[in-house]
Amino acid sequence: MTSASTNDKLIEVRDLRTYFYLYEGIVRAVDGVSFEIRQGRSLGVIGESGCGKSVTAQSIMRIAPEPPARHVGGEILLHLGPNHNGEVIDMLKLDPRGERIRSLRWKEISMIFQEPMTSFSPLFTIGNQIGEAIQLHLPDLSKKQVRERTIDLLGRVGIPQPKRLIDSYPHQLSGGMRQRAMIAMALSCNPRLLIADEPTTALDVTIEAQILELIANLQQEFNMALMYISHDLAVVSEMSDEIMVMYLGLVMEQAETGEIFDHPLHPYTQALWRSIPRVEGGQDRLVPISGTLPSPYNLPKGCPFYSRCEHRMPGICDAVRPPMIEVSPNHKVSCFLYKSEP
Amino acid sequence: MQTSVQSSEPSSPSAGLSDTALLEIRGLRKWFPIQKGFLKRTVGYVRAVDGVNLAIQPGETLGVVGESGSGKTTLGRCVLRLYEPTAGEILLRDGERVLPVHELEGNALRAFRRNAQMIFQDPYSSLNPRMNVLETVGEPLLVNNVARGKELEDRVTEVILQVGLRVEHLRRFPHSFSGGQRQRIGIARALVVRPKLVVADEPVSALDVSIQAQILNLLKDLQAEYQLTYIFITHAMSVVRYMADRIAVMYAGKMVEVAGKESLLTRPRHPYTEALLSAVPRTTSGRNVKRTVSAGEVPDLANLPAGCVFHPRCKYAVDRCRVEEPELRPVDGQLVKCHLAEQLSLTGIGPSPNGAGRK
Ligand SMILES: Nc1ncnc2c1ncn2[C@@H]1O[C@H](COP(=O)(O)OP(=O)(O)OP(=O)(O)O)[C@@H](O)[C@H]1O
Ligand SMILES: Nc1ncnc2c1ncn2[C@@H]1O[C@H](COP(=O)(O)OP(=O)(O)OP(=O)(O)O)[C@@H](O)[C@H]1O
Ligand code: SF4
Ligand code: SF4
Ligand SMILES: [Mg+2]
Ligand SMILES: [Mg+2]
Repeated sequence: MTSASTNDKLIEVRDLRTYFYLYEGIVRAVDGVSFEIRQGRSLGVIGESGCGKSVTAQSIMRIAPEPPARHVGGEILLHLGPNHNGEVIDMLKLDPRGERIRSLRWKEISMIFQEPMTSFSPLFTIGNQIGEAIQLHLPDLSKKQVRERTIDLLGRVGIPQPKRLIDSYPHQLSGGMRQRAMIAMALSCNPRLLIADEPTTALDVTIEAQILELIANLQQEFNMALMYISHDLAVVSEMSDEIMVMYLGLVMEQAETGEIFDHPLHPYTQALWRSIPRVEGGQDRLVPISGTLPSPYNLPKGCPFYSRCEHRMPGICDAVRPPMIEVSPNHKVSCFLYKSEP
Repeated sequence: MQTSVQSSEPSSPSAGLSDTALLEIRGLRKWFPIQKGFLKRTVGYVRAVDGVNLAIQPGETLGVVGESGSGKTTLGRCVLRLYEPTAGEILLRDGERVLPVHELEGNALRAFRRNAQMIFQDPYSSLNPRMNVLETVGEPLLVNNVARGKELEDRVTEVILQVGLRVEHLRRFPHSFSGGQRQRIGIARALVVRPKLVVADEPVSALDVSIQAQILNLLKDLQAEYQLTYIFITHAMSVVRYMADRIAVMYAGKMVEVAGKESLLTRPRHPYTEALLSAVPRTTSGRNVKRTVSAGEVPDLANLPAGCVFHPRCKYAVDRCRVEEPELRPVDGQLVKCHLAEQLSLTGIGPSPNGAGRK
């Protein structure tokens, strides 16, 4: 969305592995994910339900519940701005309940959660809860100023009658209003990185367009970086400079937005494109991707998409994991059908 | 199509049910009190649903779309008696009988609830955190004395496989699932008792396109097999186009347009429907298509404008619209709540060869 005004790295995720140790077995929710996002840029993340998108985001924020979660490998490097002499922090090395991480959450990295009810307590009004987030980072503001700022924020995310609704409890709002209140809370401290996990699923298209515009404007104004997780491919394409496709805790393909829509390379990406319902209609039956998913407790040692892939090559694809290779500049794919650029 | 919505005023008390309808809603209202101060004095009402009339045929899918906060969830909850309506009637055909759903109590209400299920918009808060998947999905079977023990486990297993979950998931608790997996637990719970009527509130919003396709196909197959009737609430126009027979458009607690899906989407008759459709994203090519954001304030449900509720935002509004509320009335086989429905020529979603989008 925004022009690449800078090459400054903001966040680098390298070979992240986050596992859940459950009674029934180990869920390898994120199993070697790498990417980076520069200031002012946006990365779209898509992939099958349960493939590890939210857990990746939670790992960056260090809010995956530990236990049962454990970050068994990798690093998440956050580059702090010039105000901090360009310090680089490995988020995985911080104490998840410590002082340091609390000073970074919301202010440096902020998140819009997939399910707004997870982030609001039912016992307090939304105004109280958003106000608290503001107060945390702007302790000098008076009560009245905090309230004014909250009302202003609620208005900017399209909550009607913010003066009245600021005093609502979460259950008194519609699904979409709750989601917008969540967005207001996430934006309250002008974060440098915003992680938006399905931020507009409960919104009608008009309000959605308004929210997307607001996020795009914040990116422009504050050079905010964006990680945008969504199943809505049209919206992802609208919001992202680059897109990363995940499957079973791994990255299958990554490329610039236009490129990946015009030339999807990975068989999973291609199959995904085919199952999109079209708003223009004319589909008698949608075609889901056929085949069964492997057990989450027992992932294959070869390509994770093997059991559903129409191009699978027995003896090759099921023997080892296909490495991530760069097929053309900035277009990476993990599949044995392709060779790296010579 | 059937002219199955009646004109604005509710008709005589629950005499019979019109022709073939499975469900009929007459003059339905749900007003939430706005309370102030320590004494919780009521200072006004949020008119979340305000005089809705609808009839739904057996085996039909009625799509419900409309602005966030327009009352869709409230309508769905009232129909299933999860909210007590403030006024109005809800009639359901049950064989030869007509059930006055709005008056049911005790055993009759429980029997009704078995046949009428809801898929909730917010799966997180609708699932009990202390019940695992087997217990959650099995509960409706147990409380309705449909199955227990081994048979219960078999039925639960069957339905969770249908929604793309796994046997290994049966003993896990809701918090240990992804958003889309939780949504599917809610779907499985609603479908396990083989209800006749399902209110599906944004049932596939958290699902990727492939699993979404699987679930939508499942809902269609069950409908074909058991003559299920759906009230399907969604923001995703492509989904409603795939699923619905007719579409109802809500705005500020009222139905502003009801029509067969093709005519509504390609040739809307109400200015709000046009505005809604113009905002649908229509590209996956990566190139940005600018969407129209309709101007003006979202209506205050506690303080609705006089005349047509849409007039402050309507670009076609004339003087009459500011004083006189239009009726929901038949125009060319569609039902439209607009004074100018005959004159206006509005734009819908035209077929475009390379466009695609979920919403
Ligand atoms: N707290 C938890 N305990 C155990 N397992 C978990 C927990 N949270 C997530 N998982 C598992 O980790 C995997 C990845 O989950 P994640 O929430 O990241 O998926 P997702 O890609 O965000 O999916 P969706 O699109 O459905 O939201 C899933 O298999 C899920 O069941
Ligand atoms: N329990 C409640 N108490 C007070 N007001 C409520 C309650 N539930 C809903 N409302 C109000 O009623 C209106 C309609 O809400 P509803 O949830 O039906 O909207 P919706 O059309 O489903 O919206 P969305 O698309 O955002 O889910 C909103 O203004 C909401 O604030
Ligand atoms: S590596 Fe083999 S199985 Fe995996 S996606 Fe490529 S062709 Fe298919
Ligand atoms: S009645 Fe008037 S204000 Fe209302 S939708 Fe029609 S033209 Fe617009
Ligand atoms: Mg998720
Ligand atoms: Mg709703």
